[in-house]
Amino acid sequence: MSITITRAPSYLTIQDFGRTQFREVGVPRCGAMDRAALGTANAVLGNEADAAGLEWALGGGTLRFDHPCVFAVGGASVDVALNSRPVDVALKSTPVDVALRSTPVDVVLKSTPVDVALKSTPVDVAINATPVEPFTTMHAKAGDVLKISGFTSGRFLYIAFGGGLDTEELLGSRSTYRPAHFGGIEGRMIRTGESVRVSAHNRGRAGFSAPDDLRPDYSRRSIRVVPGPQWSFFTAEDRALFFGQSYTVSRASDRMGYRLEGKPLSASLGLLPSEGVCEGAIQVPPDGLPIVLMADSPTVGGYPKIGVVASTDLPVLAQLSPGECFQFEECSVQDAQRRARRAAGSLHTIRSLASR
Amino acid sequence: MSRAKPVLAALGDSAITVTLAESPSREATAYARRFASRVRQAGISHLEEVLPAYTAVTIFYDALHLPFDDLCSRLQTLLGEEDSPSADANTPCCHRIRVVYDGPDLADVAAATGLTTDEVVQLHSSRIYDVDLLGFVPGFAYLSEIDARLELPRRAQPRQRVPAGSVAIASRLTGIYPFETPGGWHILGRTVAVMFDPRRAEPSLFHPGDTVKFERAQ
Repeated sequence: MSITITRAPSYLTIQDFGRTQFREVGVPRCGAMDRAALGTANAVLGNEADAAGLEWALGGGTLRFDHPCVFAVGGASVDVALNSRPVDVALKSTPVDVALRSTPVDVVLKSTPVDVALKSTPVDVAINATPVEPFTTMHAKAGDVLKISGFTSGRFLYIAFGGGLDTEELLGSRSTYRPAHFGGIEGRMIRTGESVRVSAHNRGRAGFSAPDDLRPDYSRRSIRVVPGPQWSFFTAEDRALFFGQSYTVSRASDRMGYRLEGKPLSASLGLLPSEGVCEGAIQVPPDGLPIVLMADSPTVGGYPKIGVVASTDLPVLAQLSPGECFQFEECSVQDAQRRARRAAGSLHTIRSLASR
Repeated sequence: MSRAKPVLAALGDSAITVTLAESPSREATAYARRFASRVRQAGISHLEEVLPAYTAVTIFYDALHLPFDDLCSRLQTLLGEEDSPSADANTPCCHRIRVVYDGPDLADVAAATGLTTDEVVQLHSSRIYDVDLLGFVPGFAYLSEIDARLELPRRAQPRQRVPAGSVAIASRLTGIYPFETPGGWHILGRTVAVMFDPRRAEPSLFHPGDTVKFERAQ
């Protein structure tokens, strides 16, 4: 079983829920930037939430199903379409030929967009394209093409496959970790023309959709933060400013960390002895502008941590594009854990509904 | 070591930072490592990983099954128990790393420190270093402590690409780049040792608590 990337976007990797046992030797968690989206796409397929899928960003592209396959997408708001008849096949097939010759052209134009296809031959232009709804299982036939275009909001789209992707597992995960060049396909982005193995256990029914109230909610612009180990070292003014102001995601934001723009904190703490950090930790370097550590961030750091984003809210932040604004909101560790348990419960419910 | 009262603090909803000392010292690092071993051996279920550093230990856990308050009380109990000097369960290794001292910064380091290149090599390869902790990228060990005469700040202009195997120094630390990455340390030489291989039974060559001696390759 496999899929082939027929036109890769600028960013495409394999991710699951990451590595959790090798921080002591410097291996970060890695894994999906938005675990809620990958987890929900997996749950509708009846997969374990942490099965490996594709993390797709920075532009559109196409992939081809080399075998019949059940899949689901979710995350960023993107136009996704599955065609059952790629254009090059449609052009060769006789019914279209006959129609073109035997009926007035304007009738044909109304019934199918054949003229567009004839003029613009690229393989990824589809006729009879079916829109692919988020967090809904779909069945693709061998040769079908999935077309992704037009990111309207969000940064990362996940494509999950029944049974998951079946690539090499390293250090307990299939996640691509580019800084150290391992995981996924040689630790790098997937390129046009490359195939990725899908589990032989790809089965499941099409048309199952996650209930709306159990899906990730990306509408929040208030990101919950548990005060961090150095919270009390910050001045009262800094703490008030941190929760009082609106922050903007900077262009300098990637899988390692998101830099934020706003009024700088006074942050006169400098550098502390390095200690363990985690995904979601908000470091404040001497320039006073926070950096939120993301999936590929180093395992240790010396900048004071004013807080840590609640694990349920990190996916919402991860999906914010450069230039988007949000605020931080204080949250207790107990409250953050209650929310994390509820989110895990939602995934569990979706998975049991899907498996019925 | 000033063993202040340990402070437990949530590092988000899935980790706890236990601060054991106010300032770094060899003793503090050793104590953090011993406490980390005791946490690992305490049989607490749903722990993900225990990560000791200079003055603190970070404990990652599965909050779906182990609430913060429960883990805190388990840790408080452990902190109240007597520290056992033999608690560090890892058997430290002594590594000998052969280095070809022909790095692009060797001459600059000599010039900046007022030493000859031979003296730089001599000073760098005569000490036994401690593996304090790993980070930056997998397998990158922060080794301390180089001779004070070699102490230099990081390069003003970090390199975009430092080749894998580069042996470098900055402030009072030395280290080996496991992969080709950007880097701001002064490169003295290179080694063929494979610092990290995710397919190896023991992926990282170095572990916290190990010691390292560099040897000049002829």
